[in-house]
Amino acid sequence: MIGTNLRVLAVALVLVAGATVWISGTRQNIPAPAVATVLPEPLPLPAVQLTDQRGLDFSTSNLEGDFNLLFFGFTNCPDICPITLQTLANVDAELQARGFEPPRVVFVSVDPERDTPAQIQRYLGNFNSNFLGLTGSQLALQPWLAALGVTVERHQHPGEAFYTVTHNSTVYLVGPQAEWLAIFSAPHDASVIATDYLRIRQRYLTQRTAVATSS
Amino acid sequence: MRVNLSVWVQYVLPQRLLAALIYHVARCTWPLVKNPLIRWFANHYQVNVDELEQPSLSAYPNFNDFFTRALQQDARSLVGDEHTVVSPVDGYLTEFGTAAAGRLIQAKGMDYRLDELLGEPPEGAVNLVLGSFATIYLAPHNYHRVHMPLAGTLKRTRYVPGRRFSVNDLTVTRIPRLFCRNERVVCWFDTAIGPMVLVLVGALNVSSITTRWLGEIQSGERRLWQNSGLPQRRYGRGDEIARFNLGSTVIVLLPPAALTWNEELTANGPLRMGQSLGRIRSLATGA
Repeated sequence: MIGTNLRVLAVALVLVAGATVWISGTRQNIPAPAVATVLPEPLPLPAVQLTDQRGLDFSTSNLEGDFNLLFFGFTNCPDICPITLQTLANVDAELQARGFEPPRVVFVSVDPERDTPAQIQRYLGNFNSNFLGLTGSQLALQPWLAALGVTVERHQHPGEAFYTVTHNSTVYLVGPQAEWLAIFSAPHDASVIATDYLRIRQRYLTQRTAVATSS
Repeated sequence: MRVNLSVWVQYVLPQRLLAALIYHVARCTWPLVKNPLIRWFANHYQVNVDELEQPSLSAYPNFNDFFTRALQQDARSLVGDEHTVVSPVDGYLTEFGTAAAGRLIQAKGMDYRLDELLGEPPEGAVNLVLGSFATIYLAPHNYHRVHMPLAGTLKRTRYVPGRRFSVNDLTVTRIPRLFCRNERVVCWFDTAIGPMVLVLVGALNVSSITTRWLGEIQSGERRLWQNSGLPQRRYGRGDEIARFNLGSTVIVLLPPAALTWNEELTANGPLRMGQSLGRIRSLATGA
């Protein structure tokens, strides 16, 4: 056993020698996010009064205490919303499988006329029933839309009841103090979002709390 | 002489580089590298493949995923009720008992100070609030996920930089204060009987430690840092909270005299996750 240990150590030493150059560039302990754009300074989200999918009041402060991924869309959306929500469901599943706490996913409807809380609840059940769904009048939503730069445009052909809503596909990362931290731009990839999320979260949690060495 | 050599050589090993190298090898996804490595490991260390959630060795994307493998749901069960403190890991119970004067007594006189272990200022209050301890060594073949011994709410996490000496019995009994010299992640929880601390000790081959709330903490950081656990989540008894990316040791700390130790425990005996370490005493008083 001891002999084996020594042989393993010897092999390891040789490998180390060979790999020194390769490794020496990778000292940064928390790598920078690969795709996400991190805001230079976090921006506090303005106050809003919305309703969640259970019909309960929801205000900006309800975002506090956890990391959140915000996505704006509508339940009749034919393409971007289902794809993005499925991607976010995959992010959740991947993080759980890798042993990490996933962020809260928040779907914010930009189509308050059709998206009742019950409708949102049904819709989110297709992806992940733990997702939070929010709705509110255009006026109630306005502070968030303006602060985050969310574009919403209603398209209705004359004489048709059905309409669609064009919206951007950005996913917004909001921190535990309800502050906007970063954005993920399309095209979205679940593994990339998961990995970048972990990096941003770790930087956030460790940078602010460095303590003087006491050991 | 050979015995001593494998200990002393660790003093001069480039531990940080070694950890970085192992980090990359363990995450290599080339089938030509990872498949033989996983097969060799499973055979050499006699990993019980039958209890794995994914029994096909080639299905693991890399060695690290195999090392931190999941078990089938019914592979481990939690003994007792919420008053029973269970082992957080599979491993070997190297020491357990009550700290005396702030010192955790270890075999062969290799005891160490509690405040130093936790990266706290000397003579701090930790010696008063903690005292019952169990040190569990995870052997290479063991399941490497860490679970909650008792329900609790995460309060803070502290990373204490340090060395990466091996934590095998040979080394632990020869290098003084080893657990206080190795890098470690110290997790504080609030429980029904007061604070509970889990110390996840890094070691020679540990390239990183992951916790559910902080993500992957890579080996080799040079400064001590603390996170006050912003999402102060509550974790139930038996919930998975961390993974060792290659082997190590966990030290469970609870308030002094908080436990009636399980009489069947023996030092150096094997432990399984969910097995009873003891019963907590003061719940009846409503603490």
